[in-house]
Amino acid sequence: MVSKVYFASARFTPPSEGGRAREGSLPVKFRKALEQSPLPSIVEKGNIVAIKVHVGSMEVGGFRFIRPLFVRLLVDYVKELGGVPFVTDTWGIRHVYSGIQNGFGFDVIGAVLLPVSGIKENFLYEVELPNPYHLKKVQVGGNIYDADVLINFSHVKGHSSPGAGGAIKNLAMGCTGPRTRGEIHQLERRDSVGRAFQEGMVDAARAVLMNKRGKALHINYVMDVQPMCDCAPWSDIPIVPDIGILISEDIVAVEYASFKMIDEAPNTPGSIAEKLGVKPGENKWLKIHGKDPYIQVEAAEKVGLGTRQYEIIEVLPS
Amino acid sequence: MPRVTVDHERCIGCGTCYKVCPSGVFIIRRGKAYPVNEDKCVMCRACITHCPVNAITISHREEELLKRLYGV
Repeated sequence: MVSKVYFASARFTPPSEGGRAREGSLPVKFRKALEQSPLPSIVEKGNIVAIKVHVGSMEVGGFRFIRPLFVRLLVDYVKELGGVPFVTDTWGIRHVYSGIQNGFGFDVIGAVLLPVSGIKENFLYEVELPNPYHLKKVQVGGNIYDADVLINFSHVKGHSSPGAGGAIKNLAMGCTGPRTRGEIHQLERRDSVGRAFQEGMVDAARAVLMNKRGKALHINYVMDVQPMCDCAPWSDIPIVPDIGILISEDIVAVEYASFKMIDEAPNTPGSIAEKLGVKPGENKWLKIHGKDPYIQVEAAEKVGLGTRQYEIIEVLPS
Repeated sequence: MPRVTVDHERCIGCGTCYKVCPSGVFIIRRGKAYPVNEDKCVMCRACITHCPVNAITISHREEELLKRLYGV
């Protein structure tokens, strides 16, 4: 079984004769990719739709997160499909205010920005996980659990704990409660390659998706691929040129495709990838952070969250 | 490894961080919180969300990263 991954490239695609230039630009292609993706059949009229993003660091410093324009385009489309969208991120209400500062206010994104799990992270459901790697019980954010649809809109970037973070991490650390996050971080102490940590993330992601069968979509924003997580209060130039946006119902396929595209891309001149002598095709994050990010992808595939067999469907101007 | 800081100009010594921390990172001494067991922090951030005066910050220890990535 091969999973479809819809791809809107950041590279401008010249339109066919007579076409308008904007058709070849990422925001327009992103909208088109959403239309071609399974989203129209996932969102039913009246569904409450959680759009999970990372709204950036709590302290001013980091600036490479998802551009709010792309969230707005997604929100508008969800509304057109008859859904009731809200945008959400974790860490309580203080993070909501950081998000508004970073451009995720109603006036820009067209939806309310809510905490995943209440103002002080006490609105949580405990989900029991059969046959986990490590976590038997996972605290899932109440607003995520209660939503009819989950759109996992993730910024793919480096991270010192799993090497890189994308769709899996956005659910595992971004949609769960403090106890669960603590348990996952504690797994970091088990080994030096980040295996237990990443298996713990897969447990948590699986728990988050448990009541979203056929009601989840994963969107990986592979732009501004900076060395560190959006939570860090500092940013560096991206390690590779902007790649684009990938969309799939299959979290494993979209994550694997994103990591592969980053590995295959050339280094950005002057970036940390260039400084560390990373070669195109190499496992870049392993070289940069000493952690192999593919562990989480393989661990997720093993528990049936998806497949690494993917087919790229590039969205082109009409 | 994480870095935990308490802004003592804001801290009112209420003991909330001490109560919510699952790892025993904090102690309260003379009306202020101190992250004496910083190395035990699991970065769950419960102290930050519950602190009533927004006095706590947690970040990855920047020194290690800066040294590894940028050689400083």
